[in-house]
Amino acid sequence: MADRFATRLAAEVHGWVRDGLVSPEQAARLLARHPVEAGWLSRPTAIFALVGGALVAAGLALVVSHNWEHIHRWAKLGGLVTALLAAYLGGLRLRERGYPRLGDGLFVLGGGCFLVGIGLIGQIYNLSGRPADAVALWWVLLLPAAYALPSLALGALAYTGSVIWFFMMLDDRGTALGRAAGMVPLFWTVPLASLGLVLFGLGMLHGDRAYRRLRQALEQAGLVLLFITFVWFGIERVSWFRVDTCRCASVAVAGWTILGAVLLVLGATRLPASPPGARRSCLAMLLLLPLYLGGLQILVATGARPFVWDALRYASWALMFGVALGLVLFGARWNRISWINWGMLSLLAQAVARYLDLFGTMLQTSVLFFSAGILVLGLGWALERMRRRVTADARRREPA
Amino acid sequence: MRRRLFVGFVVLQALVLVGWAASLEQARARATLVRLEIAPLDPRDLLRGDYIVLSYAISTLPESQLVGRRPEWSDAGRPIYVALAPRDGRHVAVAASLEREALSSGGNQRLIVGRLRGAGGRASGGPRGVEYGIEQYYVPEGKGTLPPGRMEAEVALTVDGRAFLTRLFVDGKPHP
Repeated sequence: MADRFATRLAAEVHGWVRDGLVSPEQAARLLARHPVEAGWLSRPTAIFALVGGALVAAGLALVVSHNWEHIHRWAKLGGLVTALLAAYLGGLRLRERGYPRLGDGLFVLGGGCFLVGIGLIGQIYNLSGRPADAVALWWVLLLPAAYALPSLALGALAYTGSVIWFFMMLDDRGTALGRAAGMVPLFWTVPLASLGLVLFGLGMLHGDRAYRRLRQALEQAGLVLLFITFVWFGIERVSWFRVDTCRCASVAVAGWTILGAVLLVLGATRLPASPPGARRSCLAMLLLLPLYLGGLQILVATGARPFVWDALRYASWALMFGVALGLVLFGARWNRISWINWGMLSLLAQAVARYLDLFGTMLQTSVLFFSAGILVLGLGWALERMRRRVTADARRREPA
Repeated sequence: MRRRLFVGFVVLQALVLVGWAASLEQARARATLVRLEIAPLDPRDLLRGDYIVLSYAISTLPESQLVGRRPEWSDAGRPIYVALAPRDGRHVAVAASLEREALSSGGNQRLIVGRLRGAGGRASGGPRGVEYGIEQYYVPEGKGTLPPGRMEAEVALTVDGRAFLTRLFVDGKPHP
């Protein structure tokens, strides 16, 4: 939408100057505020490049698998390493010649080749170790290459790998996280929320310069995880937590929560310094989240009474409402549109969740659905109006 | 500068792949070959994609073979050391322990290192299942179904107990 608006503006503004509505200086300032960052062709090109890169990588993997018997193992590996180098260096060339999106497609192909290479070695030597370790090797070596350029596509691929790795660890009883999740079901949700903190903190740490796009992607991924898990904390009843299975703690789960808190603190240092005190207020608000997660872990370790769990459940409602509202306000202050959007969406999701929570068992099914629908429509309309106003205000302000 | 750094990281990726393969090749070349009995398999679990999922006679350790501390539920994922001795042309487990030192290194015994498998919940007691990293055997497309017969795996064992699955045998003949 933003690109369409900028393109339309660029076309219209000349007419405004001609009709004397704005001066040439004002037109220049308007165009500077809303530059046409990318022609409409560049987006399909990016998509084609990414999809094409992924398809070629899949095709390569299939060629090897179909001719498995007839290719010597070193020839398989050699071919793959050649393809990897060719993809990366070809991408670099294209990027330098002014085709950054096509270049990104080839980088994705290179990253895919690297993953295929790891899988190929496992296949050649019949290794069946922990799959999470293979994914870890992949994203850990992919990430520095992404930052070196920087490349958003390669960075997104590496961070996607890291999130997949995290889920694999959580699902594997052989890892510390997986063992913890096996002990108490709540230790499935708490690490996911902690991962949300880690991603959000990492995102903020990227600042507003060369890595701005990565910042936006990571912040949004973190917010999605946080809002989903906290809505869940608000819905879960004490019997669902099944915390009575053990009074136990996990260093791995606590470690991820602490890492999330540390990254929030570090990330906050990259937030705009004005207005005075806003950065500190934002950090204080965000730190309530790891504090809540820490509280949950302490209660599991000490074996709290049911009413304490209920209190904590209600606290999560207030906390998420406050954080979502805070994100909207800080987002408007610092022109972070994704904070505003996700904050609004979270407010809507919580309102619906709380409505179903409170009235779900009291109303007839038909009445419940009907009234919930009306609520969603009404709230959606009101929040969208509010979102548009706040977003417009944010855009009107200069980015800090 | 950024370009050089990027090229450096790309070359590092290629070197990791080649170096890893070379180290595995070297470890396998120096390893001793042993034959292990493959436990009966459930045909429904036999083929997943283009590899065969294998279970070994030594994948489940009886209580009587455990030396030293008994594994607890929280030990899932920890290394376990298993002593193998030759019997009727195959190697079978004779002792296992969580501590390497607890196993006596007899003349013809070989050591294999596995990882305890987490099974069920906390109430299920200590784990006895072991994974050795040789549970998958990759085969050409469409050749994943094993013919009936006595199944054995040829495994290359390094001095420090790492295992590499090299070949499968059905009734003494290589498969596929």
